[in-house]
Amino acid sequence: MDSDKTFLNYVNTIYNSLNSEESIASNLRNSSMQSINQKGLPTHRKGNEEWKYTNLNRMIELNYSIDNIANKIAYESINTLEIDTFSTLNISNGELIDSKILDDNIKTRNLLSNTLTKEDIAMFNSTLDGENEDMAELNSAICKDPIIIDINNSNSEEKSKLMINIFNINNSDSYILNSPKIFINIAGKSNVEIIENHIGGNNNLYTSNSVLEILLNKKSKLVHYRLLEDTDESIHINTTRIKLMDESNLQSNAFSKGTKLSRYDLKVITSAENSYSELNGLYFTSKKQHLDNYINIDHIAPHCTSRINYKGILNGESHAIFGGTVLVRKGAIKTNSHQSDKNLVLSPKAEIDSKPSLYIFVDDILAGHGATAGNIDVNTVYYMRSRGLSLEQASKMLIAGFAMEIIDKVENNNLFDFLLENYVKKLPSYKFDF
Amino acid sequence: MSKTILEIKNLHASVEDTKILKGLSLTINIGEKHTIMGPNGSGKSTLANVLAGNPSYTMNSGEIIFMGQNLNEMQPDIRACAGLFLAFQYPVELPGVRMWQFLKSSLDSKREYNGEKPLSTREFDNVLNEYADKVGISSDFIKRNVNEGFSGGEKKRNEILQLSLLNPKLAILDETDSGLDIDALKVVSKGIDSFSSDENSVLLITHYQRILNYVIPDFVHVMMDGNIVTSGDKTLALELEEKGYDWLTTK
Amino acid sequence: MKENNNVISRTTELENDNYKWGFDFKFNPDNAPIGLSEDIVKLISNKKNEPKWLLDWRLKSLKHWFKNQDNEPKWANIEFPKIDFQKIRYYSSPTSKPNPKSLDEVDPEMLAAFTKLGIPLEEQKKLSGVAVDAIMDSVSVATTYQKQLEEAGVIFCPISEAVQKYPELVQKYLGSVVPYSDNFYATLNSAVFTDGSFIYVPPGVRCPVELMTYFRINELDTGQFERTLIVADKGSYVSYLEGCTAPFRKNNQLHAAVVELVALEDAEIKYSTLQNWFPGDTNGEGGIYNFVTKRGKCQGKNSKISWTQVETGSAITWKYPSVILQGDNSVGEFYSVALVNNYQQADTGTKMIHIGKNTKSTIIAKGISAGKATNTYRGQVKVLPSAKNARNFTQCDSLLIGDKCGAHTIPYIEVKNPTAQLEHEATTSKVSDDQLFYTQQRGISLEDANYMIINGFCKGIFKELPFEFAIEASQLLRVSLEGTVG
Repeated sequence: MDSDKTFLNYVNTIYNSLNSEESIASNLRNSSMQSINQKGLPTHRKGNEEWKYTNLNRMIELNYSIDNIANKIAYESINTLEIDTFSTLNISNGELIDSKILDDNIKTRNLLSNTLTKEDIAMFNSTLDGENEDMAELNSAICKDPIIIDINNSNSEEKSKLMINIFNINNSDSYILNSPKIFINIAGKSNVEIIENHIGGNNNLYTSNSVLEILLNKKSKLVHYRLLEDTDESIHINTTRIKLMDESNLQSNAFSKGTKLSRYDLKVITSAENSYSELNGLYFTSKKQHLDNYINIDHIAPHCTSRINYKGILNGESHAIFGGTVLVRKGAIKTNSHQSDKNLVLSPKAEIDSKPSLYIFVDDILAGHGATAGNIDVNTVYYMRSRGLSLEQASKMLIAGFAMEIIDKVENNNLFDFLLENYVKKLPSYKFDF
Repeated sequence: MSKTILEIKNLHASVEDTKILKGLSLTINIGEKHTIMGPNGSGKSTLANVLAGNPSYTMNSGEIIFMGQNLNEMQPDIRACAGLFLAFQYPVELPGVRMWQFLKSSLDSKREYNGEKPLSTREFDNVLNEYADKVGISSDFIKRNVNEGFSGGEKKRNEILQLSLLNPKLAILDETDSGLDIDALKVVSKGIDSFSSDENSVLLITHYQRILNYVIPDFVHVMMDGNIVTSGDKTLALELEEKGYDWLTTK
Repeated sequence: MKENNNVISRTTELENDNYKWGFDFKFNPDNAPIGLSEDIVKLISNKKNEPKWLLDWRLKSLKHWFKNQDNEPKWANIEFPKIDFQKIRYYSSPTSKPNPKSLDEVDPEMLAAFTKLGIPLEEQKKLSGVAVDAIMDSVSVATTYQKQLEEAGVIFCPISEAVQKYPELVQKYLGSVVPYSDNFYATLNSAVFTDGSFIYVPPGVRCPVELMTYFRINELDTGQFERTLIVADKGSYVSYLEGCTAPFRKNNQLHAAVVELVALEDAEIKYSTLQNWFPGDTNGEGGIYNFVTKRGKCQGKNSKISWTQVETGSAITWKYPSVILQGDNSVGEFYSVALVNNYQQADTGTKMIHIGKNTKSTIIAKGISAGKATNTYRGQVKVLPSAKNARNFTQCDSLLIGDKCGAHTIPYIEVKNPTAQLEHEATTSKVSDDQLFYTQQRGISLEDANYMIINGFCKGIFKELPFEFAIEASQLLRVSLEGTVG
């Protein structure tokens, strides 16, 4: 309870410093701050199904200090994925620091450059419904630099390609809290590829609580990659809302490495008919990491298809969670939905909790889900060994094969190679006890 | 070096406490083709799996000498490297594991065991393409995951491809012919035939006589209730086809 | 195959109404005052002439309940107005002579009442091969087949009688699987439970007949809080069935039972339920709140507990028959059909807690939703670090009939051991138009076609029931589905 209070005091301090002068964002922050001060945070409230396996005390108990503004500049020294055919936005500690735009069809506006209008401000949180969105609310209360990205390439043959680097840098030995806030509006008939890369300074301590909203207008297409490369000691909380209009097409691919605590709260909302969405994910945890995937699809409009396909590899004393919810509302007839979550548990001290739920309120639909948890199949290993492969070789190959099922969905070659190097090659092998 | 490749002496083995093999003995010399026939549940597949070292099977007593080495304590991969190959009755699917990667690693392992250098990518590709052609596996297949989504016939062809590639001293084929249409059967038989030479041996386990029209065995053994009850040449197989197995029990 | 005339007649002789068990019997009941207090608990205990340890346990439970009375479970997917626990009657005996020594002592009107319900208790008419303990409201009214059971050494009697005759057994196992502090309703039950069945099967004995308890809530405003305890000693086997009905009532009635099963080494318990409590009328008025805690413990090696349930009744169902797989190689099974119609709500499923090595569990759940009803499957499979080589297979299928109902599937897969293998599959759909058309094209009415397809959907579960129950379950399905198509 005390740490709750200390944390809220810290949040209020940030809030006060941001609102020392009148800003068009004041209203956005103000109502959220009030609501949080009233409700508090979802710190493992009893009977709270949405936070059943994740205790936010791990985030709240940390020792926080105010961010030193000099920190953010250091992002340039951080080594990360670079692809020269992509336009790049660099966001550091919640502020848009610089951008390299190669494509006229991509336009950005942000609060700190005074390019946002009142109408723009109203766009933020428009895809949120307020249900279990306390962390997004926290983000709104203290967001420093809300950013709007407009992408319209409906008249172009070329795909628009954008890399968004979300850096977190802190050289002090207490934590800082960053609140990046981004709204991406993809115009009708546009074809877009986005890489969203979360990354931190070497061994830096920070909590990143970001919100990303994406509106996919009629007949637009998005391939979205999310890389969770935040530091080992960091807390990563992300709320992503993707709203699908008529005949839009989404492929979302999330690749996550564990951190001290991370939670990816993704909700795809099918607001209009005939959309297609495919949500793929691969998560890999080790040491004492805690990783929570909270993946939701809200089927509102009829004739939409959705696929969820997540896989986890758990090692060390880590704890991973998959909470998937497919909600098919009244009227969403002819919905076709399937979700799957498969897990490889490699260590006797790791724990997986998988909760792939279905909530169905209409009869003319097809919905299914599957989940597995377990280790490597003994018969499979025997088959491989009978071909001369050692136990270790066989297990490594099988674990990599397990991961490849998701990585194979990546069509971008640079990213594919990056994933082979950073994920597949670093996978452990399984220790058999026979 | 002795001409004997495999010598099984008084072998007893079980699966989950059920005794399957009851004192089986068999000797296979270099250059020989042996066939084991027998009704369901007679222990044919158990024999194949015990020879290959499947951890689900327990060898209770007896001795298996392969190329002068006692197999008892050898891990399945070491047995494979030493030149023992088992074509599985039900080849296992390996999701996400590419054929190319799997085959290359297998061959590299064996070469390393024999003190040879691994093949370069190009060398390996050449060898692989040559064998793939022979068993009628297209290069598209090589890009796929091992056995994943393969039809029954494709899986068996894949086993023969691996047989050719790994070129063992002893090839054990566990009902490789079952469930195949006549074309696939011909491809599989041809594969076995072209593998077979004076330098190696074949142990063909089968339920049906028909594959023996293509692969002519030197010896035919009949297994019943965990033991070889009679042995003969290829005419024994024809006799079995005609009279069935009951004839042996009443003999 | 056993003779089953009695069972079939049980459903056919009754009227054509949608809920055929809704008639009310008029007795002069011995009622306790309405409300919950220490005095009521003492009164119940006193009526049953209970030893001090049991009264103390009841009072401890009551104290715990009062302390937590504002912490009703809220996570379930059900909605209902707050229950006023001071407006419930906690003890009602339909006769002033509870626990008769023999059938001769049973009120003839009571015997007639049970015959009307399809459960004849008289010696010459009793269900063949099934020993029945009949419970009306809070009290056991008759137990058949006593002699045969005595010869086999099987104890099957009302729990209140067991407290008198076998206090050591009851004291040893009561609360050993569901502790008094387990959950809100179990705590309440521990304080005020009135009757229920007690079964003990001695080592090595295979119980010669199926044992059955028939529950009925008759009295207005009465809550039913029965407590069942089944202990299967080493190497024994018992199959137990329970059936439940209640009359039409405008008000909701609370049923908060606790069932505890203990299987020792090599023992097996098969527990089947046909639950047909009054579901409320077509406008959602009345009906039973069925808030039940059922749990079995596979305590010994190689033991097995199997739950089979067919649930068509109750306004609200909240229950999760569970198995704690403690003994090595023990097996837990859960087979369920849950059908909801009109305004019914069900949040039901199971828990399989794997503790011992090589433990196995299987869950097959079929949910059917019609009308404006809501059906939620909620199932937990937990593998603890000690449960080496644990295995689970779960399959949940849901059918929706109409576009105003809901079907929800919420599995919780919790694994703390890398040698475990768990598999969960679920599907949700409606009865396919192609299937219906094909069946209709062969001359079968839409309603029959619908029933036929849904019956097929449930068949795998029905076959887990004892034969007589399987037929009745199928009949019950038909009655409950009436008016859902067209």
